[in-house]
Amino acid sequence: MGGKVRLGGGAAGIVSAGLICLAVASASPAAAQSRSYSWDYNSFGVPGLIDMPSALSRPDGELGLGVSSFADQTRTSLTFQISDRLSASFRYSFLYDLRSRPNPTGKIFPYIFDRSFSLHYRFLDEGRYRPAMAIGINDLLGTGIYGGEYVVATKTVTPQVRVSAGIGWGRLGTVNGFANPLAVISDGFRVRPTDRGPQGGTFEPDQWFRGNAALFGGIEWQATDRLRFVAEYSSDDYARESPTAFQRKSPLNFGVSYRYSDRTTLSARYLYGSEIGLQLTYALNPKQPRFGSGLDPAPPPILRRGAGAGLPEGSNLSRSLAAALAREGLALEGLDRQGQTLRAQIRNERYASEAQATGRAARILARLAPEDVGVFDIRLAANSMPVTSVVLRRSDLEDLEFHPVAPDLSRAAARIVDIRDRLPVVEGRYPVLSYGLEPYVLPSLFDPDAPLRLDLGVALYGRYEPRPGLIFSGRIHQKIAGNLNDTNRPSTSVLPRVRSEAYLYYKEGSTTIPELTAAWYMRPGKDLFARVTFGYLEPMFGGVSAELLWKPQNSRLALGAEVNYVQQRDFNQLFGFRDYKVATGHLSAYYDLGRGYTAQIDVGRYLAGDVGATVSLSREFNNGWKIGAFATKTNVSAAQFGEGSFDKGIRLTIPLDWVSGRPSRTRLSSDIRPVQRDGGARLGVSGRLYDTVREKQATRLDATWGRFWR
Amino acid sequence: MRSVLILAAIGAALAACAPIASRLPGSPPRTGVVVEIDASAPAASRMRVQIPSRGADAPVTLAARNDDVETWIAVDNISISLRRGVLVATRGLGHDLMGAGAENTLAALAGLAEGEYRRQMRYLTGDHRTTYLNAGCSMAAVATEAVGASRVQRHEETCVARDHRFTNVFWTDGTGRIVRSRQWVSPEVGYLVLGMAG
Repeated sequence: MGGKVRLGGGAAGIVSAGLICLAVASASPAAAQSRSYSWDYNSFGVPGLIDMPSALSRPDGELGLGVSSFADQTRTSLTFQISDRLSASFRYSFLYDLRSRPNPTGKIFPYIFDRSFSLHYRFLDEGRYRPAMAIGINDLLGTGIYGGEYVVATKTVTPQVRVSAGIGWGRLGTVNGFANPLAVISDGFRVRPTDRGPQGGTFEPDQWFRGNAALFGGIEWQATDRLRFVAEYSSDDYARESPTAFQRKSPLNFGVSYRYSDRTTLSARYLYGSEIGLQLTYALNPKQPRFGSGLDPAPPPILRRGAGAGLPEGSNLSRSLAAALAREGLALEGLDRQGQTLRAQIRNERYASEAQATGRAARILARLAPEDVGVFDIRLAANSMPVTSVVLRRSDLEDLEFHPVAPDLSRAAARIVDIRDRLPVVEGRYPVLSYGLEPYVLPSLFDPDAPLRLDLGVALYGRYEPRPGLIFSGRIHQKIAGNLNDTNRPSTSVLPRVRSEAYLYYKEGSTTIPELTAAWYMRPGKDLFARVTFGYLEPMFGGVSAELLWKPQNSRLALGAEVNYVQQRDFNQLFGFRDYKVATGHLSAYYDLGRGYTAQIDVGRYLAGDVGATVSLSREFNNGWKIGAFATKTNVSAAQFGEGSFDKGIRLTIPLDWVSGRPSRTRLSSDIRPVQRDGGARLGVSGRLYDTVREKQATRLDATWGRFWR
Repeated sequence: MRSVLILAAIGAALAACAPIASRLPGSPPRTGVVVEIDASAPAASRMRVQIPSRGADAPVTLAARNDDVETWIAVDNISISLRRGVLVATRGLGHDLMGAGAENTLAALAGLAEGEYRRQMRYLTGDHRTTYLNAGCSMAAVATEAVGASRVQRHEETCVARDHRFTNVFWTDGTGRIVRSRQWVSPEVGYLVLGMAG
C-alpha cells in the first residue's frame, strides 16, 4: 500500500519554496463570480453542492485543491478542469471505522486510506429554459468505496439562485432507491456486481450505472459576492459508515461557503442530521498568474543606427556583446559575420520564454552591432547544440519597437528555420564551469503509515563543459532533516525490485550522489538531435543511455528512440552497484493535438525487464504549466504487479516564474502515483531531448511571439 | 494580500532608491490628479512618475530615443515609453502596456481631428499570448489652468473599451507640448501620473 513521488533531482529542491509562494500568494481582492461557472467544489472535489454534484463546470484550466472533513472521514482532492466541459479529480481519503460492505455483516476496518479518480462531463449548456446537464463517474479506478455515477441538471433561476436535480447510481442510488430505469435498455442494468479485482486500480465498467437508482437535488443561493448558502437532499445513505463512524439521521445537508479570496473558499456544513463538516478549497488557474506578464526588468531600449547604435571605434564586438547579453541572462556561444549579416548563437539562462530571450538578444544586437550590419541571425541553442535560427531585419526592430501590432508584423518579417551547424566559438567561452548550493526537498506521498514524508537537505551541484556539447554534471545531497528513513514496508514484489525498495535508498546514507554523469549532445542531421549520457544516471541506476530524436520545425509529430544499459546502484547512492543489470529502452511518438493538448506513446522494455507501452496525455500552457496523466501496461499481470494492477499517475509541472513573478527557467515537476511498484518503471535520466528542443522551435515561438517584445 | 505584497515590494523598492525629495510625505494614495513638478531637475532629462493604485512615486531618467518615442527608466528597471508625451508602452509593471497607438490622440490634441477615434492597446496574457484592447475615444479641451507663472491647457480624453472606461488627462503648454498627464495603463495597474520637468 505504498506510494511515492519521484522527483528529478534538480527540481526537488524548489518544491517547498514554490508551495509556500503559492500559499502566500493566495489572497487577493474578490472578483465577481461568473454566472456560467459552478460556484464551488463539493466534498469530493467535483463541481457541485455539498456531497452532491451539479451540472456546471469550473473555468477552463482551473486546478482545484480541496480538503473536506466530517465524521472521521477526510477527503483530499485535486481537480483539473481539463477542457471547458470535462474535469477530472484525484482523491486521497482517510476513512475510519468503515465497513467492508454496505450492510451490517461487513467487517469493520479501524481505518482505510483510499485513492479514487473521477470524471465530470457537462454535455449540455444552459439555455434560457433548458438546464445545463452533466454526467459523472465518482470512482473510476479505485477500490469502489466511493463508487457512484450520476446524471445531473442545473438551472440558474435568478443570477443568485441555482437549482440542481439528478439521478444517481451506486452509492448515489441508495436513499429511496428504485429499479434502474436503464433496465429498459438492457436487463443487465438491474443488478450492480459487487466484486472488484483484488488489487484495485482497474476500470470496472460492468458496474457503472448498474443497480438501483435514486434522485438527489439541491439549491444554492449566492447571497453576496462572498457568501453562499446551500441545501441539498443527498441520495447517499452512507451504509458503510453509519452507524460505525457516525449516525446518519437525515438525507438533508445544509452548508454555508465563504469566499475568502478569488482562490480560497471555506465551507461549513451540517450533514445528515448529526455531523458538522468543514471544507477548504484552493483553486488557481494556470492562465492567470498573479503578476501578469511578470515583473521582469525592462529590456534595453533599441537604438537606431545614426542615433546611438554601434560601439565606439576600437571596441571588441564579441566581448562587448557577450557582456551585454550576460546582463540579460544570455550567454554568447558563437559569433560570425558574413556581409550584412551578423550571426550569434545564444544560450538562454534566464527566461521561461525563448521568444523573450530572442527579443532581448535582438535588442542587444541592434544596440551594439556596427552600422553596416542590416540582418541578425539569432541561433537558439540547447546544451551548445544549435536548434533554431531566427533571422530578423535590423530596420524592422528599429521601426516596430513601439508599433501597436509589433508582434504580428515582426513575426511575419522573421524567418525561423532549423539550424544544425555551430558558429565559430567565441573566444573565452569554453570551458564553462558553474556550480552552486541549493536546498532540496524529497517528498514521499501516500505511505499508509504516514501519507506525507519528507527529507530536507542541501544540494551541491556542478556543471562543466570543456568543449561545446560535452557536459559533465553532478549533484551531491546532504540530508539535514527528515523522516523518509522511517519508512519500513519491506517490498513484497515478485518482480525485480527496481523501484519498490526505495525505502532502502532513503535509509542508507545521509550523504548521497543522486546524479553524476558525462553527456554529449549533438546534431547528427537536419531535424535530428542526439544525446549520449554515461555515469550515475539517477538515484537507483547507473550506466549508459543514448537517445535520438526526430523533431522537424512546425511539425505536430516527433519520433524518438532511447536505449539504455543500466545496473542497479547501491542503496547508499555512492559509487557501488548491486547485481541487477538490465537493457531498457523505448521508441516514442510525440504528437501535438492542438490547443495545448499533447499525446505521447512509449513502447519498449522497462526497468524490470517487462515489455509494454506507456500512454501519456497532457495539457500544456504556453507559460510552462503542464498537467497530465499517464498509464503503463506491460506483460506483467495485475497479480504480479500487486496493488494498483498497473502503473499510472499524474504529472504536474509548475514554472517557478509563474509563482514568483521573477524570470526563471526553473520548473517544479513531479509525478504523483497512487502507488509505486516495479512494473512499468522507466529510467529517470536527465536531459531528455523532446522538451528541450521543442520549446526553442517555431511552433512554440509563434504562439508566444508577443514576449519577443517583453 | 497579494496586492499588498506587491505594493509593499514596489513601495520598498522605490523608497529604497528614490531621492527623499521625491517621496510624498505620508504618501496616501492620491485620488485626484496631482502632479508636483520637480523644479530642481535638470531640463527635460528627468521626470516623475506616480502610480496611484500602488502608492508608488519615483523619478525616471531618459534612457533612449527612437524616432519620436522617448523611453524613461526608473532605477528599479521599470520603463515607460512616450510618443511625444502619449504613453505607448510600459515594462516591468507586471500588467504592462505592451504597445499602443498614439497618432489619433496626438491629432486630436493638436485640434487636427474631431469626433470619436480609435486607440489600440496591446497586452500579454498570463499564458504568453498577445491580446488587444481597442478603445473608442474622444478628446475635449476642458480648461486652462495655472501652473506656477505659466498657463496650460487641460485636455480630457475619454475612452471606452469593452468593460473598461478611462479618462486620460493631458496638459499642454503654449507650443502644444504635453507637460504633464495622467494616462491609463491597464485594468490592473490603472493610471500613471507623469510630470515633465522644465
